[in-house]
Amino acid sequence: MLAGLFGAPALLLCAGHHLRRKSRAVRGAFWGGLAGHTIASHAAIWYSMVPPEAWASNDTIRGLAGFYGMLAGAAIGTAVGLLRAGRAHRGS
Amino acid sequence: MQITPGSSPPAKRSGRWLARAAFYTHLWLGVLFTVALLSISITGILLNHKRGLGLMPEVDHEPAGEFTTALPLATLADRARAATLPAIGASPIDRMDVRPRNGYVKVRFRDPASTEVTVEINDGSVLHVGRRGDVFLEKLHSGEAFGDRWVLLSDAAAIALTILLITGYWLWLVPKWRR
Repeated sequence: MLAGLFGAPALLLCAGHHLRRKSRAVRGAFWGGLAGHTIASHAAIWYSMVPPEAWASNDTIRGLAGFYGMLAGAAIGTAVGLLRAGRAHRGS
Repeated sequence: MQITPGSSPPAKRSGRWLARAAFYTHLWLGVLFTVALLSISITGILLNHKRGLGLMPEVDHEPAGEFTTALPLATLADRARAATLPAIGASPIDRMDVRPRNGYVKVRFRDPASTEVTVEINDGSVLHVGRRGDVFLEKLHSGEAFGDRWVLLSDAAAIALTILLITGYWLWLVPKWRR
């Protein structure tokens, strides 16, 4: 959870430094990662508010979204951003 | 010290360095603590309005007798236990909050829903049975929901917020003051 909470934003901040001077792939990865992390962090906050009496042993989505979602969201967003950047580069 | 053309005086340079440090501190802390501060802010707002949102039961009651004639705590606890479902009654009592001015005691159980039974302290009648939704929110607000040591995360967020305020004011006011 800490990696998603602090690690992913730290990496995004590093990647976002002098963004205009960076390659199309890095820019795509940055925006993808940022979007992924933003969506995942909203989901994590939402799922963290679920009261304990509503918890069940088989509700994997809550645990996944709360603990790993932010890291996974940033990683998936970065991958999507990279793919999109690559596709756009090939298309031009 | 001699100032050569093209170089800025030391005072100006140190001021620029401070402004730069304030900017990057503001940027890094702002980005790193966004999610933690957002979570603390949302839970804080919900806790401020816990009565209005129905997270904490509000029982209007006038005392039926003097506090000196109140039933013993063990009896009141038994009455509360009997008023709940067997599964909840079997869980230990977390705390008993006696309110002599209102003439009742709130008996909170250590079950997942933090069930609370409000019992009249003089006649032992059950006034209300309900869950305390604010208990989990309080733990989430302090970080305790994840474990005892996680209160440090809440502390770190509070320190970060203080530094954000200081650096924010610095970045806003110092350039104006220098002019």
